[in-house]
Amino acid sequence: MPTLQRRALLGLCLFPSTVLAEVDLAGLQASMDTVWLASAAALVFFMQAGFALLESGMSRAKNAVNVLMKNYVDVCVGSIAFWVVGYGLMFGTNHSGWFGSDRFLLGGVEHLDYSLLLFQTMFAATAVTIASGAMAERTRYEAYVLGAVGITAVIYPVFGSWVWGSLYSGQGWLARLGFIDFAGSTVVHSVGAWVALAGIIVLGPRLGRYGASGETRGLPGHNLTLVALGGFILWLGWFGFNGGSTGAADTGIGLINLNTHLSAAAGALGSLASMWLLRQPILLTHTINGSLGGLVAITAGAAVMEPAFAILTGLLAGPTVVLGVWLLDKLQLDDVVGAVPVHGFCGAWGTLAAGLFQTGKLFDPVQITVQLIGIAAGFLWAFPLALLMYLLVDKTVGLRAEGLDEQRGLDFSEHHEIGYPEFQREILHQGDN
Amino acid sequence: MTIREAALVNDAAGDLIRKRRAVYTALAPHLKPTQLFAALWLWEEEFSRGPSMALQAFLDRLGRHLKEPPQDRRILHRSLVDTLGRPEAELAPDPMPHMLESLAGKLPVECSAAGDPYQRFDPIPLRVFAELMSRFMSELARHEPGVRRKLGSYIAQHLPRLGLAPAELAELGQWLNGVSAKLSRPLPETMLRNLVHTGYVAACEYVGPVLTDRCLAQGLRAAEALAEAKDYDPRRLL
Repeated sequence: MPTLQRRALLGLCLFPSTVLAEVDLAGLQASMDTVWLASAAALVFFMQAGFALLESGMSRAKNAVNVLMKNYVDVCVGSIAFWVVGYGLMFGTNHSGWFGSDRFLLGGVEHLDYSLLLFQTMFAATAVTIASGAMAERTRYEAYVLGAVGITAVIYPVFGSWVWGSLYSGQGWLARLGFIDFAGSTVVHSVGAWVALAGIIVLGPRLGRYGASGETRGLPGHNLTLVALGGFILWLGWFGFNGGSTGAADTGIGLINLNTHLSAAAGALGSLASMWLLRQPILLTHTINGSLGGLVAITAGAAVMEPAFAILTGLLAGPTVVLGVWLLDKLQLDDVVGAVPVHGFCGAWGTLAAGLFQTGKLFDPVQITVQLIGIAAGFLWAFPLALLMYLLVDKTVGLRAEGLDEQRGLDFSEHHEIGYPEFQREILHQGDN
Repeated sequence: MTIREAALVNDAAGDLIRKRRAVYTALAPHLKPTQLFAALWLWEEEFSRGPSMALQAFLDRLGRHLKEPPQDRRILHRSLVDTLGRPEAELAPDPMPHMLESLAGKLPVECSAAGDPYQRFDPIPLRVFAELMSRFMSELARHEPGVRRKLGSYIAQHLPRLGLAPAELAELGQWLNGVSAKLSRPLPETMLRNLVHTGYVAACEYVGPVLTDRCLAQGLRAAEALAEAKDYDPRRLL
């Protein structure tokens, strides 16, 4: 053994603390943070599969492929749009408090910057895909993709900068007020839901969804097994969504993911309880949406509350979903998958809950006020802008699919593919025209 | 029908008529009368519902479709681009009545392929359509008595917007309302498809899309059982 190595080994045995102090702990921490962030980003990416399965399963068979294509491609266009402009608007230097002004087309930066961009890209992809489910079965494909670019390039990142835009320099105005939204109940989920709400208003309901007397006609999804599988995958992915929002591999992840899990479970139970109390059938779709509502709700406060309050947050999210679906149908707003109640209403509730149940500041009126300001700001930014965007898209390329395409199914009309060619003998159109 | 759904049906039909008028206006100065109606039917059957950028594809296809292809396609293309953007007041009237006369053999039509459906009226699609729609409406009536009358009235109300000539309108209206049992006047495939779709939209409004799809599938099966279905796929009407 060479002399230098023998001396180092001897030093390690005789004076271990001295030798270890020379190990780069900061570098080790940075590596662990990167590994955790990259892994969490992968989990959040996997949520796209969950969304795709859930939304496809809740749609009719003749539109299954179209729903999957929307989910698949909005990740792709959203990721590029976010890299080009969204990340800079959201996390760039933010002196005004309203939007970032650099870090566009990110490159030539530190390793941690790449990890953060990767993680935040998945968040942007989550925000954009929320609209796809609500708007399913009657949206023109290219129009939807245009909207996806608008969401990830402008609508989502600008609001995000108000809450999280203090990464490099400056601070968003909501962050200055002390607004709490740990992983994005409002930033990601509510913003996505308000965009979806704008979309379904511009689109109108599916053919025959509501009768002349205002009755709602059921349009059952074609595969509830996919819905359940999608729900499970989303639940799994949420451990990355919330746990990864620490931005680092730290010991707080345990509480965050425990709260995440408990709120999801409570959300499903809250949904079941409300269906039972309302004497409604115990639907699988409402049950799964209840747990998703719990997940959305806890996203804001997972890091700031005790588990008992996480359970309460989820428990109240469940009925919010059930009643929210009822309300939208009453208003004849056709949301195919319940995206607005799950992501919008539960996102608002969860953001409020983060202020109500914050450890050490329970029911603090100042914090509650700030939370309400943030919730309102999210709606007032995202909804009108999305409405304008979709109206513009409708005027130029046309947002709504033609009636004949809706009759034939968007799988054939938009993609010339059929999801289940062996089982869709009844599919109403397979011609060449 | 909701205002939105009615607007959708009306918009789709209105848009088809406007484009047809524009294409007629664009082509009439450059094609012989015998070529003109063949070109119009080609547009109607294969390109009228496509995007505006399909003009080159239309002209390519037209070149192969006519016995004497047009001399200068660039002029035709320019003319089409120009007229498709013009306001309605500057367009010629809807040529559909003359197109139907050409289909019935009253006007000469020049095409390259022998037995071209644009040359003469083919009664088979009409028979298949009649079977499909009859069964569709009967199935609906089984589940919802009275819906057949509503459907017939609704479609009859929308017939004028589909650009039909008065004689065709009258016959169809009587058939839909059950006054007459026979359809005999020539109708192009796009028109038949439009009628099926109008019935579909109306049925969705009255009974919901799930039942509508099921009943339309029954209508399709009945049409597929016809002997004529060997020569004409009923799914072309969907």
